[in-house]
Amino acid sequence: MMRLALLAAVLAMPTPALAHAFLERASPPVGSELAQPPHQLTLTFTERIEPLFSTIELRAANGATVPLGKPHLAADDRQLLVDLPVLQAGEYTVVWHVTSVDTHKTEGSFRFTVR
Amino acid sequence: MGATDILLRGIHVAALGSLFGTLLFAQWVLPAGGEAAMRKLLQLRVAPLSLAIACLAGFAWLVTESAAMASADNVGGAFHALPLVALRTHFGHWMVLRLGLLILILPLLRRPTIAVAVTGAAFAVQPMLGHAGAVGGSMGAEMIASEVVHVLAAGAWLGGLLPLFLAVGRLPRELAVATCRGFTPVGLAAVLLLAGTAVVQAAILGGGLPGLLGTSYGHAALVKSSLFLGLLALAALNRFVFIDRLARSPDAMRVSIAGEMLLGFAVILSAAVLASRMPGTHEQPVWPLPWRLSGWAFADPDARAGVITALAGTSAGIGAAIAGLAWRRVRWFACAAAAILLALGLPRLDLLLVPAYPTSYLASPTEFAATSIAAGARLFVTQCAACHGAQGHGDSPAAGSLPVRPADLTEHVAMHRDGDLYWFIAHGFTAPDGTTVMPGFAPTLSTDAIWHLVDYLRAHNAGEAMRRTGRWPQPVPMPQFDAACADGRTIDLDDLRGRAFRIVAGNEPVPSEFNAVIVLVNRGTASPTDDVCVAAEPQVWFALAILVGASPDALPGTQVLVDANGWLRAVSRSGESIQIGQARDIIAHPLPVDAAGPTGHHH
Repeated sequence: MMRLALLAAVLAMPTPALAHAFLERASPPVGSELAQPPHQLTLTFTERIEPLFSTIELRAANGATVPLGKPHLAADDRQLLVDLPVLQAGEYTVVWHVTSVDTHKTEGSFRFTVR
Repeated sequence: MGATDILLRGIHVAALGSLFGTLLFAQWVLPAGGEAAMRKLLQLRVAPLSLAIACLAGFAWLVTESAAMASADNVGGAFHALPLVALRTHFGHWMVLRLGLLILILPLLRRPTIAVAVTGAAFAVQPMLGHAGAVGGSMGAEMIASEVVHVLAAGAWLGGLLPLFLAVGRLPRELAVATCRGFTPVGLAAVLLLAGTAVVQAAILGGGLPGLLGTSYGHAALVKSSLFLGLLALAALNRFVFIDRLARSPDAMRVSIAGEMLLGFAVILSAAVLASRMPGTHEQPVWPLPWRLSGWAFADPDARAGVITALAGTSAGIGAAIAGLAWRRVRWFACAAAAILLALGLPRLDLLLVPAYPTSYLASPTEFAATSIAAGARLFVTQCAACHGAQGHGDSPAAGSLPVRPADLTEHVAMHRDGDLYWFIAHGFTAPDGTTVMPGFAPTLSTDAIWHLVDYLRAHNAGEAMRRTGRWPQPVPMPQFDAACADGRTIDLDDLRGRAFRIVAGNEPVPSEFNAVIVLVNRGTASPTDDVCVAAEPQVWFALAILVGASPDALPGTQVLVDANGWLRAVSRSGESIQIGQARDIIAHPLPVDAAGPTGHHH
C-alpha cells in the first residue's frame, strides 16, 4: 500500500521550476575560447539580483585580480553587467557572489580563454 | 540565514497573523449580544500587543537581515548596513512599507474594518520578502498570488485561536458554544485555501517526489505538512468532540486550543525555515528508496498486457471493496471478490517499479552539451571499450574471457535515468557471490567525466538506432552549443528555443524552400550572414556525427531539422533535402518539452 500511495503522489507532482539566483548563462559563455578579447561581462541569473550586494571578480591565469568597476544591473534585473579592460591572451576565471532580492547569497565561478 | 533570523521572522509573522486574526475575530466571529467587553479586550488589548510584537520583531528582523546581506559581523556593522538595505534593496523597501503600514494601524484600532484592511495589506507583502518575489515573470506572479492567499488564510485561522481561547474561558457557556460554531466556517475555509496553495508552492519549489524525499528542503516541507496534519486533527477534535462538552466544562476545549496555538507557531517557524533554505528544486536529491516508479512496462510489449491487467484487477478490487462496504446485500460476495482481485492484481503492480539508486534523480550538469558528448566519446575509448567493445555492443576481443559477459550498451539505456547510468559507471556491478562484474569508476574518474560518459552513451545509442533503422526510437535533444552570428552575438540553444531551425554540416548553407533559422556546423571557415550563424567548435561536428550515426568524415551535406523545443526531428543525408511537407509539419508541431520521459535530461 505504501508503494501505491507513492505512486499516487508521483502522478500528482507537476514539474518543478526555478528560484534562488544561479548563473543561467554568461557572455562570454562558460568555458568558451574567444578569438577577440571581450569588452563586457554579462551574467544572467535565474532570479532578480541586488546589485548593491553583488560582486564580480576576474582573475588571470597567474592568480592576479583584474581591476573591474562596480557591476550594474541591466534593464532585466536578472542580468549583471561589468565593463572589461583590454584583456591579454590567456585563461581567465570569473568569480561571482550575488544576493538575490529574497536576500539569499549564492556564488560560483567559471572560466573563459582569450586566444 | 541563521537561527536568529528564522526565529525573528517566525515571531514577526506569527504576531502579524495574530493581529489579523484577532481583528477579524472581533469584528465578524463574535456573536451579537453581551460580548462588548470581550470585543474591547480583543481590539484594545490583544491587538495592540500583537501589533507591538510584530513591529519590534519586524524591525529586529530587518536589522539582522541587513547584517547578513552586508556580511556584517557586529552590531555596528549591522546598523551601518540598515539604511542601505532599507532604502536600496527590494527586501528593505517592502519591509519599510510593511512597518509603515503597521504604525498606521495603531490609531485605526477603533475603526475595525479599516484596521483589518490595512493589516491584510501589510500581511500580503509576505511573498515579496521571500522566494516568490525573486522569481519574476508569470511564474513569479502565480507564486505571489498563491502565497498572499496562503498567509491571509493562515492569519485568519491561527490568529483567531487566541481570541477563541479567551472567548471560551470568559464568555457565558451558550455564547462560547455559539462563538466556536461561528469560527468553524473560518477555520474550514482557511484549511482548504492553505492546503490548495501549499500544493501550488510545493509544485513550483519542491522538486517533485525526489525533492520531497531526498533534499533537506523537502524534509522541512514534510515536517511542516505533518505539523499541519496535527493541527487539523486538533481542530477536528475541537469541532466534533469538545464543542459538545463545552456546556459542562470549557477546560478540555481550552487545553486543546492552547495545543493548536503551539502547533500553529511551530508551523509558522517551519515556514520560516523553508523560506531560509535553498528550494528543493535546486538541491540535488539523494533518493532514499531502493526502487522508483517507472512507466517502462507500458512501452514494453511483453510487459504491457501484464501491467494493464494488474491495474485493471486492482481497480476492480478497490471498486468491489467499496461496493461491499456500501451495500449490505452484496457484502460477502463483494468482499470475497475484492480479496481475490486485489490478491491477484497488487503483486503484479511491481511492474510499475524499477530499481533505483541514491543518484537516480541527480540532474546532469552538462546540458547534454556537444563538448560533453565529445569528451565522453574520448573517455569511452580509454575506459570502456576494452570490455564493452568499440561500439558498445559488449563484444570486445576480451569479452569472451570474462566470467560475466559485458553488457550491450546499445540496449536498455533508454529505460534508465541519467542518474541510474551515473550510478552504474561510478559504482560498477557486483555478482551475488561477491565477485566484481564491472569495477566502479568513482575512484578514477571525476564527477564531470562520469556525466560526460552518460551523455556519450545517450548520444551513441541514438546514433546506433539511426544507423540501423533509419529513425530515433526515443526523442533526442539537440546538444547545447555556441554559434557566432553576423551581428557579432554568440548564441546558444537557449536563444533558439521557441523556433525551429536547420543544422547544415559543411561550409555553405544548403538552400531550402522552408523558412527556418540555419546554423552551419563547419570544420573549415564560413562567415555568418543574416540568416546563418556558424558553430565552429569541432566538438559540435563530432557530436552531431555521433547522434546521426555517421562517421565525422561522412557528415558534410547532412542536414538536421530541430524543432522549437530543441528536439532533433529529421535527418537528410548528403545531397538530399528534408521533404517540405514533413518539415512544415515538424515546424508546426514541436514535440513537448518533456517528450523524453523521465530520463532526467537537464535540458
